[in-house]
Amino acid sequence: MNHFFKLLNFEINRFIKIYASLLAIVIIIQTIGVAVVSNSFVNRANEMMMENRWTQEEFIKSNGKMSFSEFMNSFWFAGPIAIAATALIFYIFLIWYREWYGKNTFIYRLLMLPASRYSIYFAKALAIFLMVLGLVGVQILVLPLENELFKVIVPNALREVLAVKDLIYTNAITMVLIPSTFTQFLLHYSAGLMAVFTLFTAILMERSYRFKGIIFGVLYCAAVLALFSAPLFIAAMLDMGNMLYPMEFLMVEIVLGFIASVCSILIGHQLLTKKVSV
Amino acid sequence: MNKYWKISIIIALTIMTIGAFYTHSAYSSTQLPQFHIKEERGNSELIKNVAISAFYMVDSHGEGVSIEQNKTTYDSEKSFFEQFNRDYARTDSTIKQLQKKYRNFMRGKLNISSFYEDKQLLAFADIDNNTGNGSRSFIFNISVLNKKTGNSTSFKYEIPSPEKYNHIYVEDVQYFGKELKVLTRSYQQNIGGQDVSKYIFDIPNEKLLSKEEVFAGSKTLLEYSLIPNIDPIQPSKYAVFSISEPVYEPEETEAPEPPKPKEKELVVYDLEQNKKLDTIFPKEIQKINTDAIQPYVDGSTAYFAEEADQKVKLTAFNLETGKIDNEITLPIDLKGKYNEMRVVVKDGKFYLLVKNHDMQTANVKIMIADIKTESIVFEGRLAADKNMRQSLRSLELYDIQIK
Amino acid sequence: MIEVKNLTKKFGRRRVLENVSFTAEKGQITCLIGINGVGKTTTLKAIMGLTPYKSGTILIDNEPISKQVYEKITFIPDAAIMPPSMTIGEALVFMQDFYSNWNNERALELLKFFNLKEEFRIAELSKGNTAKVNLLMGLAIDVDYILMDEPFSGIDIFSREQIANVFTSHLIEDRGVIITTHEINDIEHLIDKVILLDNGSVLKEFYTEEMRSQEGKSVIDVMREVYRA
Repeated sequence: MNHFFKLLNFEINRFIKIYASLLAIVIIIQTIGVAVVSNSFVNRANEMMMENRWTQEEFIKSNGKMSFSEFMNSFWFAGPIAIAATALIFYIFLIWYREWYGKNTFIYRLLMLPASRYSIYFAKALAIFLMVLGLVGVQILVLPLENELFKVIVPNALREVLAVKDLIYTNAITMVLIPSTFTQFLLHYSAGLMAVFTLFTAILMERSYRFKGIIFGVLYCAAVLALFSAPLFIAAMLDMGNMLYPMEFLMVEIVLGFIASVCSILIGHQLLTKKVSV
Repeated sequence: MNKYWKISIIIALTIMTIGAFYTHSAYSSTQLPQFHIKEERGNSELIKNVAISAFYMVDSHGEGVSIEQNKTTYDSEKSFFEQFNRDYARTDSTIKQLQKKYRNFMRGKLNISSFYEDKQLLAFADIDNNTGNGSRSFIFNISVLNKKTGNSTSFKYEIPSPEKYNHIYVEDVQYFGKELKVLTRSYQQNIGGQDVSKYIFDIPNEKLLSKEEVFAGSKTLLEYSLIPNIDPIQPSKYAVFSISEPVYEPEETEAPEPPKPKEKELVVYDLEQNKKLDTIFPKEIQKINTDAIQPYVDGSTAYFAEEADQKVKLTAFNLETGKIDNEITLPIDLKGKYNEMRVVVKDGKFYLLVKNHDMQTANVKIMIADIKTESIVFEGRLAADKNMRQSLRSLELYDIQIK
Repeated sequence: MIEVKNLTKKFGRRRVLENVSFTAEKGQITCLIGINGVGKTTTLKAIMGLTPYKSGTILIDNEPISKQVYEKITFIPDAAIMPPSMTIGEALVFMQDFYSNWNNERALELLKFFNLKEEFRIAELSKGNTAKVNLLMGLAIDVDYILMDEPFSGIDIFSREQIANVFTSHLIEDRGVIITTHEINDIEHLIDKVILLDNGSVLKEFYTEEMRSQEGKSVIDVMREVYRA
């Protein structure tokens, strides 16, 4: 356990510079975005009021008020999140492959540590997971601040008042990242963790069997996907779409997800112990 | 501990922000308007069991909302399990209650028109439309649950000559003696028009007894629409149809004109005796535009509502005697140009919900009338805690539910 | 004692090791010699559990490799095995963190001996310095067995001397060492036992002392006999 925490700490520290830059990108681009989107609205409003000799009332009647969700639906909000998400997904692969490549093969040291190979495996998985959660945390932290900035730039009369919660509930990205109930949050991120384990197993298959391993890995991912969506397909094929009550369906999915995760972890550990070659 | 400061910051940040998000009111409180029903006169006890379901839409923000006397619940405020059930089974409250009581029997059965329930049994008849992939079949799925013993029987019946039909669905299910009677509407392949048919099944012997065309729309080219029952699953002897010439949408209308009231005739069909009654509806009922406000049948009474001159008039017509039992007029006197109405009749009471709005005003009025005594027993309005006019205008009404 | 019994390994169809068996004792330096390259490094990796093998048994003091055994045995490969962005100092902290039997005094002593500085970055080390860092990290753990893979290959003459000096110092003392090499000259006088490998098989296993006293042959002499035959 002690070794696990040390490894986790080690994995985090190894990526911390890039990770910190990702967080900075999210904060900076989004902040600039709020300023740009809000200012352009205010400028447009002023111009239109000048040109048409409109009062504020008349402008609102024809253009509507500005809502913070306009920013949240723009590239300024989604772009940096997409960049960070892509980087972290890419790092799921890099966190393993970086141990092998170049003339520095740290995998020797890693495998020779007097630590269980589960520790090595979980340290990598948890490092990714923790960084994803950290990113979500930062987003939760900065969203209200961005909303405040929006309030400063756009005059009271021209803006729609919505609480952060209401904004989050209607945005496609935040609905997935920070769903409105904690139960759903747990479900989303458990599914995410399952995906990480699945990819890890595929990666370790490639590392163990090289070219053949790529095929195994792809097949394994397909198998997990098939297992996970089996209840839907089976129901559709047997033409009994609603045979399971929603809660039962959810339970089946949770059990399947759990089975898939346990399989991935066991296979991953087995490969790391017995098959992987440095 | 010094070398763990980075990971410590990430963990602390994660727990604090996500923890705060799901527990702290700064994140969990909404700024969406809170609605309540403001009593203007009458007995406020009556409004306790009323819930209005609506959709609140402002700019890019839109979500479902349920409004009770003093409580507004937006979809995002519901627990995960409520949200999940809403998303994955758009089931109405009657079916939900049946699901609670008869969990296994109700599995996979969702269509409210397919149910019949009395003291002894719960019956279900639906038609599987299989028209994809070159094959074509229409199969009845029939299940009957004996509520006393808990035993259920089920069987299938395949409708012959499937090539004749485009699709078929069940409109009503009734049960008399040992016979299950199913009213269906079938859309013909190639030729237009819809036939209304009645299938009679012998439940103990699990077989079809007879099939009969009630109305052959494919021949007469008339439209036969069934007036719904107030409670679609309760025993009901009569089915009331409104017969009219089909109105074809003119192509590319420049300005959407309000649809003209259709010339129509109302016919009562006795499902027990398997024959049409010679009940004659009075002229004033025949001319009511049933597209504007939904009429309902409840046992041997049919309710028709009509809006005219700032008033809504409800007529309770007795299908057996052919006479008007009750009439009641509710003044809506609202100034806006547009009216949207929802009506419900339940337990001898008439519930009317009116949204009246234009650029200047927006009002949502709710009235309850006692049909027997022909008197208004409650009158109230929807109020919002902020931006009243805009909040009400942003509210799209779905329906009224009475618990 | 490290026991390797009937170790067989294939890469696809190609047989890398076939029925390789030998032992290496604590307190002795055992040298795996092979001309044709293949098999030596793989054998060391197999002992360390770093590569899977088809069949055979490997026991370290009668135990298979496990996380506990990793505190007893260490492997010094011929390439850098710490992340390139680390400095030597950080690498030492890392090792101290994970190995309960890390001997930091000895690490600092070796650092001085090899003229290395803590602020050197792993990525920027020369081949010779990389070998020295690897040696340092292997020797600073208080283990019973040390496996060294080609410690002299591609290294300048002065570094070789320094590394060779390590073998006669107190740093090796009574540990068991398995070393692979194809250049025997630098260390012939240090070796206790020789295992001659060719094409994945053991051709001959002998003690240098016995060979010299009984048959009057040096290691080179035996190699000539075996490989030229």
